[in-house]
Amino acid sequence: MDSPQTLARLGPEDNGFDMKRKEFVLAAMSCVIAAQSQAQSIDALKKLSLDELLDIQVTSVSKHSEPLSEAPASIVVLTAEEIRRSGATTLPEALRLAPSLQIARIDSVQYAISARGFNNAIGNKLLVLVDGRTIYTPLFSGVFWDQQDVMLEDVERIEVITGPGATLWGANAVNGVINVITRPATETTGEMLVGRVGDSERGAALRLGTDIGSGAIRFYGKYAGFDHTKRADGSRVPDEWRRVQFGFRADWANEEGLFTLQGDAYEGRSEHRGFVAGIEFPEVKVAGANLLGRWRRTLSGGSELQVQAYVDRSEREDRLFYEPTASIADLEFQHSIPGTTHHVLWGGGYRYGRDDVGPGFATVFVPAKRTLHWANLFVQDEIELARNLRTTVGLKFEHNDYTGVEYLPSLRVAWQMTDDRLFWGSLSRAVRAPARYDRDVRFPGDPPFLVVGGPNFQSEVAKVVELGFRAREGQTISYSITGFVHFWDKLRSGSAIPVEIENKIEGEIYGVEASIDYQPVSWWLLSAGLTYLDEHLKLERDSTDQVGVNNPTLRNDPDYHWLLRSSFDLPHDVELDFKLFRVGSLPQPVVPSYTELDVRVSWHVTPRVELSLVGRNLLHDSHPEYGDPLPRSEIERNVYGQVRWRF
Amino acid sequence: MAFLRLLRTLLLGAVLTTGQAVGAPTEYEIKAVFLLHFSRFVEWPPEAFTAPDAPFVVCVFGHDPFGEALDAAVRGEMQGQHPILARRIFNVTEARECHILFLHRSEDARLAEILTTLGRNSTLTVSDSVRGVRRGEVIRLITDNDRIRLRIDVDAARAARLKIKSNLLRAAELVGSTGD
Repeated sequence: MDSPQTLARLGPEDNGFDMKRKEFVLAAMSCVIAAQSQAQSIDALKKLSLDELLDIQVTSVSKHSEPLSEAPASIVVLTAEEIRRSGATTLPEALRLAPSLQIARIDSVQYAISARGFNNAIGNKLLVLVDGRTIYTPLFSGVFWDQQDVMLEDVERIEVITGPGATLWGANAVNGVINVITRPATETTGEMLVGRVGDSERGAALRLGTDIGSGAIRFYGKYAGFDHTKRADGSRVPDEWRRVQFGFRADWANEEGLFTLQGDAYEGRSEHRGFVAGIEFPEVKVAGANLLGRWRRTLSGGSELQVQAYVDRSEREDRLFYEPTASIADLEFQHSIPGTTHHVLWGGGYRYGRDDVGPGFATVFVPAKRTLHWANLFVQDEIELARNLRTTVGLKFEHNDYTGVEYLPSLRVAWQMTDDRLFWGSLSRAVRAPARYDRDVRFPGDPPFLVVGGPNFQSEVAKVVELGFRAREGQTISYSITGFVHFWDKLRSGSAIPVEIENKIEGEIYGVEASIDYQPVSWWLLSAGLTYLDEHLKLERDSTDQVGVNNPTLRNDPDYHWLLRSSFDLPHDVELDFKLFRVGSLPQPVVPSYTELDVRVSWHVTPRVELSLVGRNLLHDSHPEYGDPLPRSEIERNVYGQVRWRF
Repeated sequence: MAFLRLLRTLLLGAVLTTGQAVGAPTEYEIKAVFLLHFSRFVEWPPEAFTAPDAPFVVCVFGHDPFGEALDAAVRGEMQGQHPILARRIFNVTEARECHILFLHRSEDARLAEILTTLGRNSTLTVSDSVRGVRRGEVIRLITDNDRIRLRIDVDAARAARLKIKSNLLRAAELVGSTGD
């Protein structure tokens, strides 16, 4: 952490506290504890010396000292602390912490991730951003999870917003938005080394960070390797996977504002997948790079302007499915104008995408190359109707090359009943705009085709009603509950064989998302979360679809899933974490329900060195999470040990 | 150390089970008390006060994360002969009347503008920004490993003609030029 500019550093870790002072802190702390009013707790704090103040543990990492979120939406924020203590080694595994998300591991590195239904391997109704950069592929508006990685240790938080976010984030933010936010480089000066070895995966990561002038820069590199999985009959799935990624982030400030420049480059590959009926299926190979710049400044009059631009290139060679390369350029700005009763936010953006999709055994895209453009303009006004009543109205116009202009309005109302109680409701319309996969796909890779993209495929439309309540009881309990109905129209369906992709499924999805945190004592935090879904989808009367609404490329969702977490801070700087979770059965193809348990034990040998041991899926030898019984992978119990060293 | 931490948490548990649902101090209760400490460990030039008994003003600019904590921290406190007052300000021009000016991290974007307005005015600027190592504020409150540490920009302090006592300097990480 020490920089060349540092003259002296006698921080809390380094100064030698003698026992006497410690006991004084203890005595003062118990005054703090015994105090019933804030004034009394402040009085106790005021008795502490500077050094003692520096040694007090801040409780803001636990949820209760954070202000109750005022946002009128269903939000789960995963903090860096929660991510670290989850033992997650990949982004999808970290997302399992959000009880509102549906996560199914397909094989060693592929996942199906969704919210509020429609989970499948090419899920397309959830928008995922890493530091403001959309990571979905324009091919199917979903994420190749085996291709996307971040240095998890440098993630500041992950915001999971379920429900439509289209007015701010645009088409495809229909069922939710996942914002992965990494720490500014100024918060990661210093070096960190992470090494991990387990029975089915291993990894290493190094981050170097240093001050530069009026800011800081960090570089990181990471390697991850995953063993192949097995099928239920014990046969080998050829999905062994290796991935290397490098990147940097610089943040600095001057009179012109705040600047961020960041970029990543990666490469990953599977093992050779052998021959099937004389056809060779070589390695799946992926590679990509991106570069993003962001500028934020305050204008005279107190408003704030942000401009962001990035380029992103991705390549994928998969002989079985397809071999797409895509180049994206994206420019956006937003202007925030705070006021006493109105807070206006408006902005716009332009996105350019060019791709070239080489054929695979299963699919071919016609035309192989396409250039697409998206443009949007939005305005949102947060209006203070009364002292404790706010409404947010917003509208976005987004143009895409397939369907022209889509309008995406929303209305939200928040009633702050007391400091600790927020009641909110929303009405919105969101769309999932067509992607290449809807319009241009052919299956299989050679004629005669059994499935062809629909030249008339339109946007899938959701009209959404949400009601939510969030509250805190004293200092120990906080909870949130959201009920929602998504009225769907024009969902993707097929016609009779040869199948042409159409929009002839409609219906409603009802659900509840609930979570609660209970911290009975400062060293024990219990969290629970539950999502319940009730899907009522049907084919439109004139549809000739042979498969119906249980088409696994549309949806294969459990009715419910729940999560229970327990985090203990034990003596001698030991942490003990449990995560018990259950996912209901999937209807088609059938995947049985399962309950699993992850356990993590860690010991901070010194404030800078942490050793941890993690066991995942401990209750059973293996269980499947997704796919048809025969080819699907079983997810096995696994254990790994990790050392994390900040120096 | 770990044993005492356990003892502390056990005490906390005992108190909680007796029905007093009061947790550990919050981040901004601690930060409020830091601001009070700064009034004692920093010397302001005499011209920073209009009268020998003029108030010593601790300001919070814009978003106020303290709630009652700052008022509770400064209530009845003196800086020498000066009674300490807490004040919320929303206008940059008011900043010049503050002896300590706190900016929450959500007001980051206003920092440059405020520092420009303050110029060489003797205001001890304090932020808990998480952006930029040196952005011109005198003291930065950094939350690191669940504890608060201090970073002092000695150049900024000198420019504001503030003299920081060695106790405070010793407890902080210093940035800025080495020569005097």
